[in-house]
Amino acid sequence: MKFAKGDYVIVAIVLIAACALWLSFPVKKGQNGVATILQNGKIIRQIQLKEINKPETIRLGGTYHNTIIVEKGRIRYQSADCPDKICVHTGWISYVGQSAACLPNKTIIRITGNLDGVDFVSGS
Amino acid sequence: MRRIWGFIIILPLFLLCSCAPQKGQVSFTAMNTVIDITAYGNDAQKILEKEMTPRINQLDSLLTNKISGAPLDRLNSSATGKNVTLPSETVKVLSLSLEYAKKTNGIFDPTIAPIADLWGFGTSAECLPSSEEITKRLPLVNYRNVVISQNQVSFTQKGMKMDLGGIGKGYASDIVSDLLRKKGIKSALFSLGGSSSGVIGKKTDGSLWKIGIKDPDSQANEFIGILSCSDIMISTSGDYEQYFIADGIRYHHILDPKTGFSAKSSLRSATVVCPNGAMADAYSTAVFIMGEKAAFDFCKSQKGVGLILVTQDKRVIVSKALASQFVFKGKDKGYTYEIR
Repeated sequence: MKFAKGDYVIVAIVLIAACALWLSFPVKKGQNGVATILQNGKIIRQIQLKEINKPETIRLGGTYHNTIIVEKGRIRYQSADCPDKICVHTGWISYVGQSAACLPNKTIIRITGNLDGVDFVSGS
Repeated sequence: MRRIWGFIIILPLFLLCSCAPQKGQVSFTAMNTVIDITAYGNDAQKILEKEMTPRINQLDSLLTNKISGAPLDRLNSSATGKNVTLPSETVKVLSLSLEYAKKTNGIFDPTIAPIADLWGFGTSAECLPSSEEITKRLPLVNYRNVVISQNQVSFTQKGMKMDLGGIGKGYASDIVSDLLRKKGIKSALFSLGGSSSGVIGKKTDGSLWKIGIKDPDSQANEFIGILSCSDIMISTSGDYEQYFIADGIRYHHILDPKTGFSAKSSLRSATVVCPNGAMADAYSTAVFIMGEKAAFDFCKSQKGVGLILVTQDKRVIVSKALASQFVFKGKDKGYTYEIR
């Protein structure tokens, strides 16, 4: 098989595009405002907060019980039967980088997404 | 021509699969906080799940004073002068905490526990103790009254207690860093509760990690500046992290060992940047309590320690050594910028 002149052009374009894709891959950030609910380190749910149209309640079992409520753009622990209730007192979280956790029940709600050009915010 | 099209489709997939480093990520609760670790390299996910997570959980059990029967609980419940034999790693961190207490002349003091118990920050028992209660317990706070001999630890005064909360997460950061490096990981970002964090190497695209320093006034994760860095540990202590308001006064969790009350600092937050996590953790608490001038005087005497301070009067002050890596972003939020 003989390569035509046009074929070399196509191969060159693809090589350039592939390299560009490869270079951009490691810094690609998550979509803005995704709430991830974890328990014992395992992801239970991932929710695009901006796409919530009506409030949803999520119940988690375990050593204790957590009730999480999610609304458009925000999420919180609504109630819990853990001893300290710090998770409930944290209130609503809505910004990328924020998190709430019920340490006794080993559950975490975390909002991930683009942190405005940084990889992490110290002191958050 | 058909082969060309096959080549066109397969090449990008091949490049992506063969060149992108494997990403591993874990988020879990331990050490009374949320731990997040992201690492890039061979078997990164397996290392994080099978080795790192159990190691941090082990550290948690060795350093906590919240669980009955844990090493620190046994020490804290011991009679005066009685030697308590503790696991070697618990003793190692206790010794380290005493070393930093000595270096800061007791401004960081791990024997603050009897006073911290009265305040109950971060627990359901959070309250404003009376001055009498604090005065009564204040003599119990003195790191010089802890005696360590090999794996045996004792207190010289009745009622003393130790809390490694001011150094434990920083020490754990060092463990995370060491373990990942030993496993050949060359790029990683980890955070233990948001206050203690660190990075290994650079990002996988070869650029420096970008760490935002939180704006103390912001409910969201807005920041007053960005530090570009690699292979470094960072710890931030701020009066906005755990606090309550009683009788119109704001009480925060950074307690001054000299008074037993929330430190009356000229600062809103203190960020320490240095190669050692335990040091960064202990020093961020200490320099917050010291305040602006003493903080810079102290850090100038410590090799390789950089500071980013946010003051009550909305100034952001950065060590000269860090200035070339720092981009100030606080102007729109009413902050001014100084290099010292």
